[in-house]
Amino acid sequence: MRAVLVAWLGLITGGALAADLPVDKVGTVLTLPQPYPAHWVWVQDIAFEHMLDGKMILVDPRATTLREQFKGMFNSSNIAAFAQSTTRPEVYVAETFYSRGNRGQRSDVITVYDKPNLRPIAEIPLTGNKRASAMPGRHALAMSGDESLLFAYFFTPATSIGIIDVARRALVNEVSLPSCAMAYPTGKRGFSSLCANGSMVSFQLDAAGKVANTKVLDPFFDVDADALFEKPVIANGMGYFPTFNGNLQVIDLRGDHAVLGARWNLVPEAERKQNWRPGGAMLTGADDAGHLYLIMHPDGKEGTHKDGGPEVWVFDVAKQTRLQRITLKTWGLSIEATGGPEPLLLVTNAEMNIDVYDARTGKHQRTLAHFGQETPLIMHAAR
Amino acid sequence: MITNWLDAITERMTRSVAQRTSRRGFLGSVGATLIGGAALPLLPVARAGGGDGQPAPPSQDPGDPTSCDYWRNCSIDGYLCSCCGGSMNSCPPGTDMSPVTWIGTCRNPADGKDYIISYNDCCGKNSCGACFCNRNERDRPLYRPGTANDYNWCVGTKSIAYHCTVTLILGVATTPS
Amino acid sequence: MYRTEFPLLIAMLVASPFVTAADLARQDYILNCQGCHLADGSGAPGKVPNLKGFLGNFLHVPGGREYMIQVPGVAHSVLDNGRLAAVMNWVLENFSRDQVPPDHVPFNADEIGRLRADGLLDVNTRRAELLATIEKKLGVKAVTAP
Repeated sequence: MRAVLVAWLGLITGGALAADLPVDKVGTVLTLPQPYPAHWVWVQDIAFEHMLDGKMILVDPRATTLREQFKGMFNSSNIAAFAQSTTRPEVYVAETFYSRGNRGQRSDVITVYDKPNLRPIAEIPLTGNKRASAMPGRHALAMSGDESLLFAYFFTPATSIGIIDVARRALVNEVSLPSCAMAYPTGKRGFSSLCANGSMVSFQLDAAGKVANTKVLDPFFDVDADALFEKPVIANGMGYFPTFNGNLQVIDLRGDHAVLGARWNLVPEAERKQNWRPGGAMLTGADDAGHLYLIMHPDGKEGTHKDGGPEVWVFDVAKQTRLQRITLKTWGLSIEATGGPEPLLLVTNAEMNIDVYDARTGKHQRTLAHFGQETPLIMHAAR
Repeated sequence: MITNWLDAITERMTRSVAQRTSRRGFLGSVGATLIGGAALPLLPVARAGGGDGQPAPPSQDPGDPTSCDYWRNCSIDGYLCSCCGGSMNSCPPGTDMSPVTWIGTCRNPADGKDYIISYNDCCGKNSCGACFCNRNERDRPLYRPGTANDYNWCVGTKSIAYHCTVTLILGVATTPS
Repeated sequence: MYRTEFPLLIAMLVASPFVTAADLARQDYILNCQGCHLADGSGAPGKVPNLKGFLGNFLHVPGGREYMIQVPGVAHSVLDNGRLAAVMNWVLENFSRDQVPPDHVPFNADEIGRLRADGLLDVNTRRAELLATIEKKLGVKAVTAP
């Protein structure tokens, strides 16, 4: 009762009994800690309903309130392609703009954003304006092993890879591809691409970004019968490519050129009659321990490879065994595993929210929702 | 709204195998013959009335083009131009039809034939936003563009702004391809 | 299933009174080439090479015949050697008949098999060289920019 009286007196007398809150300074802008905590994630919202205006949203999925989850964002135009450097405090988006929004003069660029401030600090013109615009993947823009180069996938519909010198901020070469797509970093300064006839081609580049050598891995898969997804996980230089029918093709990308590794069936024998298959938009993820995560669905058949699924399976790729099956709370379309020793599994679900699970136990922890996202179809663990 | 995605996936999850118009169930049929473009009989346009959900009257081109289940949509990825001021074979006003595209084959339930369908995009304006549909029969990854619906195929027009997708009949297929 | 059933299926169909080899070649063009080269072979200037009224010119210069089989879109096609030979012959006949030299020998499966095993990795450089030779010898230019 006395406390209430005192408080009332304070209000009436203009707060003479309590100090005022300090006046705020105009113009304060926050910056982000460096390095980013290992478990942060870039959520790429391609804004399918208004593609000009996509977003890259940096989130902390361990946090329990929106106030703590949403760290910052920047815009990315026309299904941008995203890459991160671990040696420079930068991230990169390959974007397409028109002088009048959706029309007019086209210009393709790679915009360089600084990690602490999320401000555009440089622009690298992609002369020729051939940047591929396609449903987002992780290898339409990729850093070379030594991070001196960026590889940008071009599609006119003829395909090629733009070679960008990161330090010089310049497109230095364009490597024509023989009916192949994407750039999977190979060795220190090279990339490999999967090709229409079931082969793989590898290129190594010299100091000037010109082709130093080329090697073809002869056709090793049947695109009609059991296609490799073009969305692998690359962990410690090893590429893990799931196939439409539920196999895994390992491809060693550590050296100068791609070398075929093991191929094994992801589905335990007893479960194969249920026709479990991988599927989704960005259906693959990996954690720092090198475990492979895949969205899986039963009753798989021709045409279900982008459907997503009700479960995520986790694999020890070295032992070729499944470690666990995680049952999803809501049907999943895309996944990513966070970095660090205690990974989380993030799942973009059919409601376009992001479910967060403990990757070890499979327990659902929270759902990221109402943070301005619309079609967050690919996530990238912060590096 | 993109929540169509949830509907489309739910539909697919519950649809029984018998109802799917998958070509796989009928492979090996040698009864179908090739009809060249010029000789193709003019099909009546099976236009449903204003999206009121009523099925089109029985015809050789059955079904509702504004429905994801419409037979021509078996490998489509995007907005259905029938919902955007166009039709299943025409672009909405003020857009440009991209000539380069991906191509699929779909089984017509009315006549049992596999038609070759060209999924041309209408371009130059922002996403239509109505009637999103993604089906992937015979779709393959980006390294085989001719059957990859994940590309923005507006590369053939002045602006890559993607608006909606039409379904053009190019002919009838003779063999599984 | 696709690979092993085809030869029998084709044999049966080609033998039928309803389907000709030309019909099948045309369908193969539609499904494998038309998406980019378009229904009349005209392509898109600067992006997709024009076949219409031009492709046959390659047969007049050394290396041109080989080139048209070694370009990635042809060499890496899903079609087997016989079907691919038929499509290439169909394209020349239907899009570029006037440019084909009178002593031209149509493609067959064996030649296709040999040539496509040696597919081009850098098609742009080779194309530019051949187009320059064609321009010098025949006085015709390809449309290479919009």
